[in-house]
Amino acid sequence: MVEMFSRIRKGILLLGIFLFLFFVFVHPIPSLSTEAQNNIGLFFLTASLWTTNYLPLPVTGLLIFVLLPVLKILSPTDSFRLLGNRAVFFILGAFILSTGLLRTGLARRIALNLLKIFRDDYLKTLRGVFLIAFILSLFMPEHATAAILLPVVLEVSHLLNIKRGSREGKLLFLSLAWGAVIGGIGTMLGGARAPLALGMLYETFSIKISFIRWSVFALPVAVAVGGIALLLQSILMKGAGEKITADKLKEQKLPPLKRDEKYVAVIYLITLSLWVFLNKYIPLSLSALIGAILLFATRTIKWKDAQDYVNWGVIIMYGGAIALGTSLVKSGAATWFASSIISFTGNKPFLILALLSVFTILLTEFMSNTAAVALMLPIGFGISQSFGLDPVAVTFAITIPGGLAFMLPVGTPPNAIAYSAGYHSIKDSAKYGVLLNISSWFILLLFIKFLWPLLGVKI
Amino acid sequence: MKILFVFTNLRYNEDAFNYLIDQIKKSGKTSCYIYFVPSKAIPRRLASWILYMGVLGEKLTEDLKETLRKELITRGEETLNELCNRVKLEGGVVGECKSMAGDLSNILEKLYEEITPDLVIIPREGEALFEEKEDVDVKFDYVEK
Repeated sequence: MVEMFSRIRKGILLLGIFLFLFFVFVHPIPSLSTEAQNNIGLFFLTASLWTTNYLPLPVTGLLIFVLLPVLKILSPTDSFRLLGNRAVFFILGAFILSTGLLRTGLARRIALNLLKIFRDDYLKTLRGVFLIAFILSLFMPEHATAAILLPVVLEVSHLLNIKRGSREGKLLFLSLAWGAVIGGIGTMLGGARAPLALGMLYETFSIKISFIRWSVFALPVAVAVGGIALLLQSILMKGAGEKITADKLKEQKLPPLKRDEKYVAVIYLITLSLWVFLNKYIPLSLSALIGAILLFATRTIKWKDAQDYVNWGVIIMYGGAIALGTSLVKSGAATWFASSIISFTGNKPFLILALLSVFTILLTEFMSNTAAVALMLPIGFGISQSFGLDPVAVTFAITIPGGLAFMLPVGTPPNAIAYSAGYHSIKDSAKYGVLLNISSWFILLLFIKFLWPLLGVKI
Repeated sequence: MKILFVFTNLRYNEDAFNYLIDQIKKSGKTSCYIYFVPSKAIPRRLASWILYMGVLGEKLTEDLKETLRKELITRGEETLNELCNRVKLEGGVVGECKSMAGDLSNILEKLYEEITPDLVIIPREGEALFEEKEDVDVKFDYVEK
């Protein structure tokens, strides 16, 4: 399977380079400007690099900043300006806040305390792992949730003597991945996708979405998909795990709450209140940075901690993604993509949203979910501009499914981290993941069709 | 007959161990010296899945690697005990059943000199103790005296 992936990766990379050269040097679409055709070439090159990881993600971000001016799509000033987007600063602040949760051990304490509640039987323990991952991912990036929970879940598996390759073992680690992935779509804090989408929406249409409004759209989808995952868990566990008693989990003792943990909790609550109640007066990115600065000012974390816990390189990737998306819309390249899709579907908003969301789910299984959103949003925005589709609906219809990668480890860090424990195979995650992919897409379609119009979105 | 069987978290597979059992059955009275040498490395495939994700900070990545290392060592020690018990069940004599920290080639050299085995079996490097299936074609090396 590894060799097959390697061959597919090579093929995608070569195709991306070929399409880049074809659009940049041949200019095959006479009706489009040179800049737009160069931009389409850059889109394909970036998509292939993000899919194959031939270059580290941040380096592809840097390449975008270099190629935008070189290909005369944007001036160097306009290109570099996009790295200073408010979404980038929101992500930066949110990542530093999560550093506080991780460094002080507060996130682990919350996880272990919650786990004690679910000790009656093994199915409850599985549900507990799922719900803890789900809840933590509502407040911190899903990759950090999975990374911090992996040792906890491994501890559980040893305490309860769960065997690798057993149904109990597979579901324990899949529950960790599923909880983190599904919780991650519920708020803006589960990953960089939502802030990135908001940044692109603001750059293109000058539309802002509040923290609460985002959650009103995204959280019900997360809860419904979570319900399906719990149901699947119960079905798959039928007749298994009955002999396992989870009582040993109660024996885990934790040290008393430290001063730093209390400070992180208070600062996090302050920041959350600013996001929820004062977002009309203080932009989300500023609130995130205020929270981050408070952590340093109270000596709760040091700059070294932020350096250690945050991958600063990905900030460049996010900046690059915003620059690419904005340039695609400005150069008219996004309109070309949009027209190609509309010529296939006709101007039927629901069908377009359904197709955009399913394409995003397919893409996100094979590449970083932020990258998938960054590639799909400009196409969606092109459709919005040309055919009058509500850009807010497009943003949600792409960004929410952008987080729903269940099948492959490469789709999202929680999948990779859960897989790294070696309790389940790629075949297992693909088999169960495809069921979750299909059911979550149907759930999303139901929400788009029936709930979103009630929330003021035009479908 | 004396057989030296050495495995690590990256070098273990059932075929190699079955070969050891075959030798016990063939030779009758066999003394087996079974060692587990914990390796600091984590399986390459595993590392590539995680590290290419490019989103974890340095500390989280290091913590994650440490968690996985510990896990693989625990698995290695469990496997060591299982193997020694199976050798006994198959009628072999367990000369030594031990976990040894250090460089694999140095340990092998030292054990070879001390034990003077008739046969040395070393599983080839793969994704051992991580996934059930192995990707390597030839799954172990053996050297007969």
